[in-house]
Amino acid sequence: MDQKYRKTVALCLLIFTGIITVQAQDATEIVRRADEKMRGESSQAEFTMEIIRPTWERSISMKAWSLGMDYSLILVTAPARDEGTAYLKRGNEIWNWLPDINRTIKMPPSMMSQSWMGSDFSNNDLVEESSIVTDYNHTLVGDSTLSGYEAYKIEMIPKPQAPVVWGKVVSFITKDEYLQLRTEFYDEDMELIKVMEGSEIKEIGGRTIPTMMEMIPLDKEGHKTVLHYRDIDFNIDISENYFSIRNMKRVQ
Amino acid sequence: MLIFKLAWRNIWRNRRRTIITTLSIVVAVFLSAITRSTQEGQYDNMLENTVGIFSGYIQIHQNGYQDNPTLDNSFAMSDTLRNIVISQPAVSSVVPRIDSYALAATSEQSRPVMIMGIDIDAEKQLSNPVKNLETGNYFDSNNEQAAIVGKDLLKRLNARIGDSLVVIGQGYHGMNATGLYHIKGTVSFPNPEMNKSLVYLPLETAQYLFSADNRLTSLALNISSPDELEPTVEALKQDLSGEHYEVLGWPELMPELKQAIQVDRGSGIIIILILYMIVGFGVLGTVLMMIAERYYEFGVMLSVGTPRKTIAKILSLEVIILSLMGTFLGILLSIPVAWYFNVNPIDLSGAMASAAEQYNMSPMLQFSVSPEIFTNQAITVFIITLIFSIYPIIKASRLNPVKAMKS
Repeated sequence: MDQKYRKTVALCLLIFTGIITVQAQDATEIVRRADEKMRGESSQAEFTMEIIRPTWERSISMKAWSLGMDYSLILVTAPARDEGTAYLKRGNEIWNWLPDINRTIKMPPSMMSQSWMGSDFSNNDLVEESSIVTDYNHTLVGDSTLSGYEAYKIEMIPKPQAPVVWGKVVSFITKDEYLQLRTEFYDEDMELIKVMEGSEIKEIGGRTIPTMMEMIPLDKEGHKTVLHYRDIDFNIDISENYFSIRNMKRVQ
Repeated sequence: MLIFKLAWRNIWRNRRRTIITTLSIVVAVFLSAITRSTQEGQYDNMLENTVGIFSGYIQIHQNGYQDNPTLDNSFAMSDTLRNIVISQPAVSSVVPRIDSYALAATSEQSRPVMIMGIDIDAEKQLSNPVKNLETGNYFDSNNEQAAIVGKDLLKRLNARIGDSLVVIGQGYHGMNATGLYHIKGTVSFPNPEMNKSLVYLPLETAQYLFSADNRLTSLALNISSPDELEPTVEALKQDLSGEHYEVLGWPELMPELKQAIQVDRGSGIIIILILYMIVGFGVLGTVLMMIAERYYEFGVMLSVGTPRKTIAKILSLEVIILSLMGTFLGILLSIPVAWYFNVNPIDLSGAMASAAEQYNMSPMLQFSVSPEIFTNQAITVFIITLIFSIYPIIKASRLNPVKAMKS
């Protein structure tokens, strides 16, 4: 009796923990696939960033190249005043090329949390030093429906040593295409700070992805930054040499 | 009329007594007027050297700029605005500016700086970079790619005249603001803060740097005299009502300066109050004496049937005449003195001079010759004299004739 009871409990525990691990793997797997979907080994994109404020808005057009997690290069193509300005990310360093003063500036760590070009993105967002796959523990907390899409709701708690400023991140990922349609960023006090929303899902560069991303800070009424992807190619032929300071100055 | 004649003759019956009484009043008026005159002179100096150099007596901004001085709170200059401002009779100069903060760098050093985009001609009416130029040359045009920097900033940047200065910051609506200018000269101001962080750029150059074409952060106005401040501010508010501008006089622009002056004025007033007390009791003493030695006379007058009221009237008239003479002479004496030191200010030296510079004042003591200082002091002393004479006069008119003649 006693033996039997213990066995049952052990079995139940085994099954239960098993379920939990399956669940966790599941959540991590979902996040990994969603991450892959947007990233690819390398990419080239053209997009417009609209900065929206209560009394004004302006837009900046850019081209961007990336290779893996470590390399990316962003070139401003409009407005004319900023044309040729470029940002280069190598590992965890950002360099900024300013053609009209002929200077390259290395962004100090102190500037990483500041706004990038006056938008709601910080320099940190630009060079994402953290990976949503490896720097967080993921838990599937439920299902929901977002603008007609069935989605998983996944809570991501940063790992203790991860270079992450958030207390937690909640991501809504569609079930069929693994698209991150909504990501909520919470601070250490679990207050919702900002929301990133994806929409206008189209086939572009051979993949079905949201072509519009909105960054909405919740502490500032009427502030918003919108990214419109006009063109994007994944897995292009590009080498590390492309991401050099010299190339940053002459890239077109 | 008879009363007046009697009072006049009574005054000159005892010359020495009259002269002493008058002199005490003269000294009182003179001292209080000169004290106030030096004080107000200092405040004028302070104002002239901060308001008159740095901010202007009145500024017009976009609504909200005073609380949140950013480029996003700038306004576009328009002819309508210019005409409204020029039509004010008291406005003596109109100085457009675009100010912001940025990082200035040379090949060796970088420093946070205050960028001041100035109209190269209009600015001569305010901070006058030409007069305060220490080395190098002044701007030739409003779109020249050149900068003039504070003398200490040049040292901090390890730069020399002719070197390149890179400016990096954020412009209007979050645009990147980057510019490369050659350093054309240095300026030296009494205010150390300005010498450490000021970068002058020509107006259009600064507007281009900040991607803020034709925009200004402030329109500074100077007026023909500090007294015109309030009426002009009010008139401008009237004319610009319904627009998106705020009109501020210097007390609102620089509340700390206003408070400093108020505190100082308060301490000055305490000193003057003490002076008034001394004068008052001096007058009381002399008037009391003047009356006490005439008790017999009053007794006789009362006995032969002079109404008590008439005695009081005669005495009051005497006091009024004395006070009038005293205050008038006091003004007559103090005005030339104040005038002289207004034209030839006393140069301060040593510790006093450095203290003055800390307050952005030029190191000299210049007396003020505002007419109201003198009239106010004269009127105050006159009233004090009258107040302190009431008691002796009442006492005299209530005399018992018999007792008075016996004493």
